[in-house]
Amino acid sequence: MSRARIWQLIESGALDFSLSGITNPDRDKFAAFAWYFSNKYYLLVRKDAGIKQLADVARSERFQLGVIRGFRYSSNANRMVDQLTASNRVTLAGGLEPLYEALLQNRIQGMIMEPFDYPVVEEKRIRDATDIIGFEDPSVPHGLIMSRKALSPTELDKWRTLVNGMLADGTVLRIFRKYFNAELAAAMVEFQSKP
Amino acid sequence: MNWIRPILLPVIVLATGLGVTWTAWDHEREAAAKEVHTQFASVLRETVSRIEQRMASYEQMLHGVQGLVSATGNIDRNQFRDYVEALNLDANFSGIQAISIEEWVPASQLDAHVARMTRQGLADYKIRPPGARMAYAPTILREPYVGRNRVAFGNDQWSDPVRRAAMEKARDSGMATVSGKIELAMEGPAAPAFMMYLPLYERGKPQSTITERRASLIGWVHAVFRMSDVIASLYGESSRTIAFTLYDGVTQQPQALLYRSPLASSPLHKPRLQADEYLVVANHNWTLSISTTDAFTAQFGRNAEHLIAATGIGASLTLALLAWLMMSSRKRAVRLAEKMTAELRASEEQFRAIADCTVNWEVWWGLDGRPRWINHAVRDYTGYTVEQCLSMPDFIGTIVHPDDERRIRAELARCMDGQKREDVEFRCVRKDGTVFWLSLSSAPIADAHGNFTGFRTSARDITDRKQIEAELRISAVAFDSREGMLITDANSKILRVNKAFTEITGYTAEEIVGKHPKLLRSDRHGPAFFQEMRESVRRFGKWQGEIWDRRKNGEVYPEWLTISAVKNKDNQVTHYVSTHHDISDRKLAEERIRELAFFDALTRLPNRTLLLDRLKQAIALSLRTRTCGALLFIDLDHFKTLNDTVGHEKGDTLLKQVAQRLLANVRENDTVARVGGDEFVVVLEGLNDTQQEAATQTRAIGEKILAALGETYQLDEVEYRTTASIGATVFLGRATSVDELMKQADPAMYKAKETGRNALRFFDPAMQTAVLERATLEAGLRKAIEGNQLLLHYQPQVVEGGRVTGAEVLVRWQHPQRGMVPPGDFIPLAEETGLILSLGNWVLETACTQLATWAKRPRMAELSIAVNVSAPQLREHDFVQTVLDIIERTGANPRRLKLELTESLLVDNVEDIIQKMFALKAYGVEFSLDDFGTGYSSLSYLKRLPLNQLKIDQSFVRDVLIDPNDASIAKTIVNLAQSLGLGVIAEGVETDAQRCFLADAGCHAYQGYYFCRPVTVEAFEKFAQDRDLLISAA
Repeated sequence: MSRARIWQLIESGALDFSLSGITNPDRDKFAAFAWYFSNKYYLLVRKDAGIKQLADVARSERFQLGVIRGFRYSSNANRMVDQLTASNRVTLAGGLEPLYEALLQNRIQGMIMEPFDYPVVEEKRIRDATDIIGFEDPSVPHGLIMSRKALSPTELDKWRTLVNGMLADGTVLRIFRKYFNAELAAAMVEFQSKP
Repeated sequence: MNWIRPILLPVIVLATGLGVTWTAWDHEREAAAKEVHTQFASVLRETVSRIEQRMASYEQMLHGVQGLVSATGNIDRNQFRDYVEALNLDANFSGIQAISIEEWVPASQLDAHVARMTRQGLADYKIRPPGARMAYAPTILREPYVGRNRVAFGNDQWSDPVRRAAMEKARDSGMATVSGKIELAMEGPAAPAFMMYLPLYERGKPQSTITERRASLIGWVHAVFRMSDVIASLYGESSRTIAFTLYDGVTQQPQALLYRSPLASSPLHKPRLQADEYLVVANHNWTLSISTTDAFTAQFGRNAEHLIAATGIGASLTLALLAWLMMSSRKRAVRLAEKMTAELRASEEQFRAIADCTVNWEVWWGLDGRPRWINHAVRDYTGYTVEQCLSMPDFIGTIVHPDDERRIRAELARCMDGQKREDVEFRCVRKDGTVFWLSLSSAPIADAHGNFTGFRTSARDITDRKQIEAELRISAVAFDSREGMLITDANSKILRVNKAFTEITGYTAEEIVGKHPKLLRSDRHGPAFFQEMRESVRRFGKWQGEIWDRRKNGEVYPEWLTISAVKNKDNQVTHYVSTHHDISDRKLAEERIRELAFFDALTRLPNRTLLLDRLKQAIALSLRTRTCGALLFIDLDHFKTLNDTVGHEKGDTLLKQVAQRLLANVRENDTVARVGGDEFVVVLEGLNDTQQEAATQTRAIGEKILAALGETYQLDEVEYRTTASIGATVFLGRATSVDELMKQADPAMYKAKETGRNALRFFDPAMQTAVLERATLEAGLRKAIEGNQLLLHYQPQVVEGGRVTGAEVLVRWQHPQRGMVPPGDFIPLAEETGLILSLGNWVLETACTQLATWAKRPRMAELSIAVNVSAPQLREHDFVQTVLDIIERTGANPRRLKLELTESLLVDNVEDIIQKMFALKAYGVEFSLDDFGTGYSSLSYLKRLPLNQLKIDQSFVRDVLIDPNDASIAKTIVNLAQSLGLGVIAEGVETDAQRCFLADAGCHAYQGYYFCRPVTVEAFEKFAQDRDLLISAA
């Protein structure tokens, strides 16, 4: 299911949970969260796009940014997305796969990624063709998305407690270490969880 | 740079308008663009969603088959057929060409597979394409098995790389996977299509890892989708507003094209907006490229910006134009006004030219009554040209004023009759409508033979003259006004007077014309007055003021006179005009007002002011005629009571009636005046020439008055009776002053009151003497204090045994003429006049001097002197200082000084007295209370006074043996003194018996005739010495 659809269903209550969501004032209205990791966002750009720093994006005439429909990121990243959307320089996608392809095909010149995606990005073909630029935002907590419509506050608390427990006893870290390098995994679970 | 100003405003208006328009247009443009974008984004989102939803439902459908297999554990042909039928492919899931199932056949199981297939009824089943491969995935089921789908089974999907890729992905992920683009062989061009594969696993086997999945794989179920059908089912009739294209993968190359909407393929398609989006459907990437069509723009675009621009520019231009018109119209209006002014000025000049016309206007008339020839002057006179006049249908009617027309036509008729006319005056109307006066003469014209051929008229403009005539008429009327008017020539010769003047002065015009106004002068004004008048007229051309003139009958009267000089064009005086206004009445009124000041408003009797005047006259008369006069002061008895009981109104009524009665009872020449509330004064003149007789006359009149005043008064409903007291004084006009007389009558009246009212008392000469004497005495006393007429007598004060302890000093006056004046005569006078202060000081000074003198002689040094201190003295604020100064100056021993105060002193301001006493006490001065028992002293004050001694008044002592009261009083005083610790001395001891009694009572100090009278100091000293001798001898 596309991410956009997921948010729709969370809001309507048809979907109870999803994972790895970040919050913003709009989302907070219909979704509650249980944070279990945090990371920063990065801009993945083609080497030949001529982008050395974030400010270059606005100046560049033909820079097309690839973004997953329904995704929101950290504030600087959001600002860039909104600015580029206004000038028709954003291409939406239903998932990351096509974005990588499009990036390699030079259909888009950049896309936003998280450390989650490193394993894919580390694939030689992508890594060779791209640079990574940080968004200079603090890392954003990600967590279990819980539909307020579908779950009562007590249940929300219950799940939050469960997730916090998993964080506390290192379960989350263990899981992450299966898929990411130790350093990244540790960084991901190292965050100040918001209430 | 005036041309800028009118342009400036319109330019500003235009600029502002355009600016506003541009802003609105720009805003609208942006808003429109935003709107289109928003709509587009919405359409894009909606399209993506629709496609994704559809694909999801396809997935669900395939999951149904998967479920079927996992439920039954194997692939049952019949069940599969039923399921697919139930799906009602055509309606819900249109676009699906077929749903097939593949079996996974590794090479090792090939034979077994074929055998099974054959067993199931597929006779000619074989794997196509033939050949040995590692593994096979032949189609074993296909539904609906109709139409195009009726292809033999056994088709090996695994051999096709595109399908294989999808199948592998599906197998490994366990999820539905869409394949890449497939081209279906059709009748006609190949249609783009895709497959969706869903893996089927063996029931019960684990499927959580790739390896496990591979191991438990039994086959796939897949559906074939014809893209065009899918899209068609999504979008009913093709959308008009958007055109979109679907590509397989992320490249947008022609070979990857899955679908293109008809509009997109049209060469005319020029999209306004365009966007790409990557779709992830079942593990596979598609690219959706959407663009707008003209229909989209038409539907969602806003063209308001053009409208705004058009209206904005139009409005700006209109407003600017209006502004310019407004500015220029103002200018135009100004120019118009200027033109009109110029025209007016020109016509004014024309007027003036006409007015200055002195040339006659000549017209020659024919016998037909029409003008034959007119001179050019007509233009100046009337404003019409000669041509215009000659061509007028009715010359007379046009030119002559309507009011005079009839008369003039009659004149004209006479002219035509051959008559000569002279000075026919009438009004004409000019071309411009103004009116002027003409004076016309006419004479007949005769030809050579003497025949009457016409007449000619000659006219002169007499408008000015007419005006003057009118003004003269006005002034003639004005002349006959109620004010007396007099006109003289420049030399003040009288030319004209009017009726009013005659009325005022009595001189008719005939009598006075030709004379000089001097005639009117009275003798009240000196030459300076007329000089000033002349000066004023000469300098200012006028004078006005009040003047006393004389009428013909000699009466001198006051008038208000104005004189004005009339000047001609050359500013020379030609006439004088004066107005005379008789103000006698006014003067009279003024007099009356002034007179009122002399009369009492209520009773109309002369008031005090006038009375004094009359009195003066009476005195003068008395002096002149050597007859006596009398002055009566009449005072109503108890008038205040009347006022209080019946009210002021009745009081006033009473007074009026009293006034009447008084007037009734005196003679013609006598004066009755009201000088106070209820006080009246009567002045009688022309009495007898001897005072005695005059007094008798006065008494008679006075008694008459008393009787008259004693009659009942009717005060409205109240009857009242009152009486009066009269004080009278008779005078014979020595040069007595009014004041003196008043001063005599007044006390006399009081005397009358004293003696019972309703009486007449004469001012007693003896009273006068007493007053005089008093005055004399007063003067004398003053001298006495300064000079050496005063001396002290000493009355010894003795104690038991007869020893002299001191003396009381009493002042005596040795008058050069009168001898010894008793203190009773001058002490009260001194107290009344204030001389007591200096008198008292003299006494103190003398006493202290004496003390100082005695101090040198041992025996005398012990003696004290008691000095009486009067109230005025004691009340002086510097009394203490005065006494101390005297003591110091004289060098007296203050301890030998005794000040005697009377009890009556202690009535008020006791605190002050106490303070002063203490002050002096501090220096050793002693105090004794004189006349004790006769005054008002309170015992509480008594105890506070720093007294040394009480003196028992002689009134008690005198009768101490006869009157038991006096006896007990005396005793009480003694006891009181003793208990207060005060000394006590008895005054007025005249007998030894009294002395005895007093001694028994406890009083051992005495003063009185028994011992010694007050004597001179030498006598006193001798007495003291004798006493001493007596005592020492005893």
